[in-house]
Amino acid sequence: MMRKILVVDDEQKLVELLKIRLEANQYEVVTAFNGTEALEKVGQENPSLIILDVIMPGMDGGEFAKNLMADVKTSWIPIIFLTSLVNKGEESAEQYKINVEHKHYQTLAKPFDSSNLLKMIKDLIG
Amino acid sequence: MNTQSMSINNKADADQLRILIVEDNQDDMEAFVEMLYMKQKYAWDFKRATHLGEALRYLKEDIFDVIILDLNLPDSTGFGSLNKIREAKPNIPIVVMTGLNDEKIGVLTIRYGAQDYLFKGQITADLFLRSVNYAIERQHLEQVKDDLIAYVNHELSNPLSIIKEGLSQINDGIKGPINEEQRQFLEITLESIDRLSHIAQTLLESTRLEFGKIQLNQEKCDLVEIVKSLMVSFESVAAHQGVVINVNFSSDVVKIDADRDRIIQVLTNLLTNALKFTQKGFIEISVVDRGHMVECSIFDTGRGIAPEDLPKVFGKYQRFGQYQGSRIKGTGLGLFICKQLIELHDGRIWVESQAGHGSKFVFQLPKKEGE
Repeated sequence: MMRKILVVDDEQKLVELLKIRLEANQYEVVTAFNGTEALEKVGQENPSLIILDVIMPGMDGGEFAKNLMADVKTSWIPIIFLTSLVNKGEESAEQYKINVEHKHYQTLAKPFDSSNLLKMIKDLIG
Repeated sequence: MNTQSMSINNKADADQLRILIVEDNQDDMEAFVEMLYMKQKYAWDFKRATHLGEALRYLKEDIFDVIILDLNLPDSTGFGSLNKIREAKPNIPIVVMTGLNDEKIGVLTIRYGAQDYLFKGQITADLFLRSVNYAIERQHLEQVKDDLIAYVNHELSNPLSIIKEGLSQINDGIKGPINEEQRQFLEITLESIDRLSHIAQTLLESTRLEFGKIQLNQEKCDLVEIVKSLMVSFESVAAHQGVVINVNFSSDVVKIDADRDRIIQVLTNLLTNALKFTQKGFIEISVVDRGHMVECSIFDTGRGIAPEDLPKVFGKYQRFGQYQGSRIKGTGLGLFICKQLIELHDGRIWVESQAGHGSKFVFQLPKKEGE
């Protein structure tokens, strides 16, 4: 069975590019452009991994992750957080706390090397 | 994104200045508040806390324009008190009251994130009013700068990601085959994108460091293990260049109380520099346990630093050895960031070098008490 990745970012062009890259590496890709939409997609699509932008209008990445963690059906799903250039600011403090507690949560600073992203995915879901 | 904190700081909207006084000495506090009430010009609204726990509770429940903080409290002392308050509410201006009539300590409190300081026993109502207003305005300016940094940080990330990933996909042949000349052009472009990201990143980081905006996540870690983990990536780069890296540890484990990621950042910077300026020979990394201090040095047999440049090495925007238009390009902020990070750990960093005879960068970190 093909592994399915949910890509969530409010930057639509980046989502499109990631979809192309991941599909070229034999992953099935579903997309969402905000946290609310992403929560719906999680329910419908059962992704095996989520690539998640931290800062989004409306429900941001941290809040979305908290929603997933609160539910045993979704708390196991590995997440790769995409952060800004400097990723340890106050903005991601909350989310950073999540990371240290959960090994299946990783962070990657934008702009990222896709080879690093693919390696992270491989380590998490194969 | 910080509209809420902006409005808190905008005291013009409020008819009363909401002040939280954190002071454990009841007599001092009473005398202080009484003195201020004598001054009728302003309407004050005081809340008093006698220990840090109480102060943190009030900060959660209420809105304040300014915090007056005595550093030595029953449940917290020194800069620890300041850090904890700033962690809880990073955007409220703080005026520190120190009993020690010592300008050095006063200045340090500002470095640790306070906006102003006053010496106990020398406070008059006028002086207090001036200090509070100054602290509020200073905090407002810091906020403007922080907002700008946050904005640039976030807004640059996305277009850079799109440019980088788009070009990488063409370069990787995902959109069809490309010829050798096209590949070379793409690779040059991609390198420049990485350089641009790196510059933006270091610029943002050094600015934040300078304004005391970076807080350490200190934990117990092993400096030997950190150096070993870095060797994995650096050894291959060095070998490629024909340079050997030797390591030298005084014991198998050397414990420090530090922010692991930040120490990795410092070491990465120092090692990258050493490799940049060493065309042949070797680099030696030593970790030595000196009792109350841990010392780490990175020695290289590179070209060294000219005596007139030595005092400037840790300054901002200093770039040495880049005049030949070679592969050596940097932001000139790396060592500045190293110095800030080491000093944030209460450590110190220096360099010993002779032109033509290599350089040795050394940093010392205090060990955790009771180790």
